[in-house]
Amino acid sequence: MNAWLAILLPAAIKIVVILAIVLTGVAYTTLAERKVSAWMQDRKGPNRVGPFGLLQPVADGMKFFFKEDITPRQAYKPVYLLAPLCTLVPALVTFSVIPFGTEITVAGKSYPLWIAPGMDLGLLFLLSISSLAIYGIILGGWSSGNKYSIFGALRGASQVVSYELGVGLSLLTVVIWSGSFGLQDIVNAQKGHPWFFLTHFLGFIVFLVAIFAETNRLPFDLPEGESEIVGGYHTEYSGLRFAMFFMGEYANMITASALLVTLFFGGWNLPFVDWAKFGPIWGGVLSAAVFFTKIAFFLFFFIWVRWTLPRFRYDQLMNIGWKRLFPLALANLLLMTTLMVFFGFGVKQ
Amino acid sequence: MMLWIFFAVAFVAFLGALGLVFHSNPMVAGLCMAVAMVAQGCLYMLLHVPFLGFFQIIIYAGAVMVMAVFIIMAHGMAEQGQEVSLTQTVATYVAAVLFLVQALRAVWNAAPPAFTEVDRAFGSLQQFGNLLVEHYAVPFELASLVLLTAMVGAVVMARRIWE
Amino acid sequence: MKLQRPKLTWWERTYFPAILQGLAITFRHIPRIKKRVTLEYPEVRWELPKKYRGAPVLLTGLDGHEKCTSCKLCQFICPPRAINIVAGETDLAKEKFPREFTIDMGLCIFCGYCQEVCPVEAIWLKDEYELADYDRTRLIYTKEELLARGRKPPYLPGKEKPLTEGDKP
Repeated sequence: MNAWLAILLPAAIKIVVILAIVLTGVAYTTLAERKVSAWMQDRKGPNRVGPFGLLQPVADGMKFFFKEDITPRQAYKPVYLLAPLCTLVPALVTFSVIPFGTEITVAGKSYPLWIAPGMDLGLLFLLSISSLAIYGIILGGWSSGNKYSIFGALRGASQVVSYELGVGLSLLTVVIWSGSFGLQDIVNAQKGHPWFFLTHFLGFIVFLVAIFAETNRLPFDLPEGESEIVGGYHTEYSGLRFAMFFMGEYANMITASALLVTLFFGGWNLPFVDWAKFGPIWGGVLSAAVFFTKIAFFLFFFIWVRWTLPRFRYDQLMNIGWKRLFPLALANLLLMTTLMVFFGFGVKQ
Repeated sequence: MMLWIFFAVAFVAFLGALGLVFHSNPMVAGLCMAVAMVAQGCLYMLLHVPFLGFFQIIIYAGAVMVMAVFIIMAHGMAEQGQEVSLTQTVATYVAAVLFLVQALRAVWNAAPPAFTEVDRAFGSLQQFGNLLVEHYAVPFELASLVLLTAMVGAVVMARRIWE
Repeated sequence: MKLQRPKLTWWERTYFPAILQGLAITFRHIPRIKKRVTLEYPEVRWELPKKYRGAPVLLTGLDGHEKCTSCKLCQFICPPRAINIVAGETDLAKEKFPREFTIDMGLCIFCGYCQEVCPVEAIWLKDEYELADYDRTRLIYTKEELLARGRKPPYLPGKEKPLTEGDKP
């Protein structure tokens, strides 16, 4: 019993803490989106609720809570009610394998700062879970019984098949280079080495472009496409169910940023800094802080790109996915494996 | 503990398979199949081959079923629900019963499995990769060739219909 | 007509220069704190143009009576027929006065024809614009209400003094 407790208790604490951080992050990313978009358009942004509008997410949450939850008559009920969960849950589950920091040593025992420390296939787990996230869009769009929604679902489904190959292949070089599917191994492989966005520049570019399609953000937010198909797959949703879609989208953004940081920007690493020197507790805390700062930068980048670029056309996205990203990722794979096999590059662990 | 997890997952897989066969709405049937695929991936993980499970989920639930569901939606079959004739129904049920009898016989006659201890490397990526490259390289490449041929054929046929 | 598309170099065809340019432009706008165009409405108000047409009001003459002589020209010209006048006799020099004068603000389109057509300059489009209400019946302004609105001083900067107390434009 004690053995179980020793495993479950730290895991439970970590889950609670990380969920709290992520959900707060989601709330404040929505505020950041509105603020940054306002600044980019020479506006002020929300500033009425609390100082500098800092309580705006709370107000938004309350509003979602009290709104009427409408189920259209033509909807296919069981699926319609299930779909928002299919978006939110995968988005939150993916955080279980992302390493947030080094480790905290308390009473002679060290606790690594990620939820599932034994996972040596973290990247595969993450990819498989996020490949399921598309079902939220498909189910929601199809079951609403609305033409705009089903167009959103169709676009989402065809979008997913055109960018996912690029994502997989661009990540493969990182995996081969560091010799492991474990995200913590990939982070360690960048410790004291140049971060992977320098050595795997082509793969980084492919992944960066594809990740915008993965998170359904502009310029690839075709499943939503407000100006063409109203709200796309979530046209009919309202109240808390819409909030779930909304939170899922922003949680996906945080996951995508975390993945970018972990795979290409050295995770919690900073050049010439060894976290072990900062003591058993502060080393872990500071490394986590660095990690979240990097995530914040990429969240800003997502918002920045959204308010700069217009939406791509549907066929243009397919073209980019199949005719540009896919061959580019293949070329990258060929190049990197050649470098590793014939010139001895790569990280030996 | 493991046994109970197995039963839970197997039950979900079974329900998904039943839904695929019996649900009249092709869209829901497709989704049931996706559920069955995910449950099957979990079964692989229980068998200590986690990466096979993940690949099962990524490829079958995440890509193949998405494609299938996309086609169902695009064809508008989701609304209609296909009409089936009586002979078709009867034939399907007869075939299903025959298949079930055969499967049960095979399970019944099979020798009880000999439990052997496997080493820790069992189901690891290294082992899998070595097997794939050393023993099964030719069949693997042949399979990909067959798939390529099928793809080219599909494109040719689609073009003919297009014109 | 056939459009000649510009010939792009290889580097331009990757979209990257254009994307980076766009990102730079949007980023440059973030620190421009002084040039924010947001007007924090209830506290800060828009400076109205001089000829702004807001809610129509009735003006009072120097004798303390409404200037309107109930000629009904405004009632006839009003495109949405928002004005309704019931005339009455009076002992004053103008002999006729509006017993009732109502404007349905649910119908008014703020065209200003009534002001233009009025021979005695009794009706005037003031600079009030916060006219929303929760009840439609309250949007039908009576004579007393219109006169009261006409007596109020203009409350926004940037507009000429409206013609009250009988002075000529």
